[in-house]
Amino acid sequence: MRNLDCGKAQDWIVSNLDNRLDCDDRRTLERHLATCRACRDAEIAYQNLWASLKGAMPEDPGEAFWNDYRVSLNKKLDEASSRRPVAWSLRAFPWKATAVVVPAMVALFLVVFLGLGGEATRQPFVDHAGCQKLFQELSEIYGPTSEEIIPGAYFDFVTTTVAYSRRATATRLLPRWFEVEDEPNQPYL
Amino acid sequence: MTDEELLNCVRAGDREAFCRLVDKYAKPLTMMILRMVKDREDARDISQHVFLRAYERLPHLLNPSSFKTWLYKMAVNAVRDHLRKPRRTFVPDVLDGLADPSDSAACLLEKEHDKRRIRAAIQDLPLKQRMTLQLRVFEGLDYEQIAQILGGRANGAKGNFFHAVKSLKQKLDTKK
Repeated sequence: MRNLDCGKAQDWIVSNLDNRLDCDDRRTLERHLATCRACRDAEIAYQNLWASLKGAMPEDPGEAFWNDYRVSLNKKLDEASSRRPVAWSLRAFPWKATAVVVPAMVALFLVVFLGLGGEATRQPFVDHAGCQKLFQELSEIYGPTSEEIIPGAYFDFVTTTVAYSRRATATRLLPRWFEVEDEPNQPYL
Repeated sequence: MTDEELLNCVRAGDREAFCRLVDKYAKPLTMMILRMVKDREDARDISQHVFLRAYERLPHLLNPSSFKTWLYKMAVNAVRDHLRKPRRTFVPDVLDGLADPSDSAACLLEKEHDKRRIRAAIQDLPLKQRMTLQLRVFEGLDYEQIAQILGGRANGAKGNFFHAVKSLKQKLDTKK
């Protein structure tokens, strides 16, 4: 069983009037009120105050007031609608979402359908013989080649990347494309 | 229809849906304003101004489920602005018309006296406590909603409410 001091009890009296006290706390409060005259008087005072507050509500202005209210508000809403009908529909448009989604869609379209994400700048190997010739020439110019990176790394002015596939045979790699980056005005092929 | 469904209709251009929202909230909102400003014409003007602003700003309302709180917040801000303005004329108190015709003259006088004391005591409260008290007692809003409307936290709103009730009791006790 919990003991309640008078300060706490007065808080609970207000909470109880506000219907915010659970059953256990209400029972504890009732036990305290049964033994404490001062808190019982305070409870009566709070109850009177509460009733007075509830009774102090202004009276309803009446049906005529509300009819007039609706008519005049409708008139104002009509004016507001006719003043800026376009602005309203424009403001209703989800601009923030559009600002994110549309650029993302455009970027996706450019990358996927137009291949502007890097593939278009790469040079495809059209035939195996041409590929062999290219490798020979690159080897003559830059030295031996690795499987994936033709050793542009050894030279400051050029980097060549070659991508392979196994489409030609099961064991032998076939280059699909290559790309060469160099400093401007440095002929390498 | 829920507020959310009605708001979706309004956003799709249905004015009638907005009128249904007005029908739902006009009375409680105007009565709340009336309790604060104590003048019917002012209360009507403020309430209509709030609905017009709501109509214009609906596209900016991100969470339609909080429409009621949003509306009350605009109303409370409008009331604050109104109360900051200096009073132009004497405003008759709307609580003056509360007399019950069945009461005796002495009883009427006593009731009237009590009401005046309570009104004066409420009027003496700080604005935030007064608004908290009114939103809790008359509008039945919970502390979370009151905090959203007036700013701050639910515990702060609860504290304001307790202070308001205790201050009122103290004022009324000392004036007896």
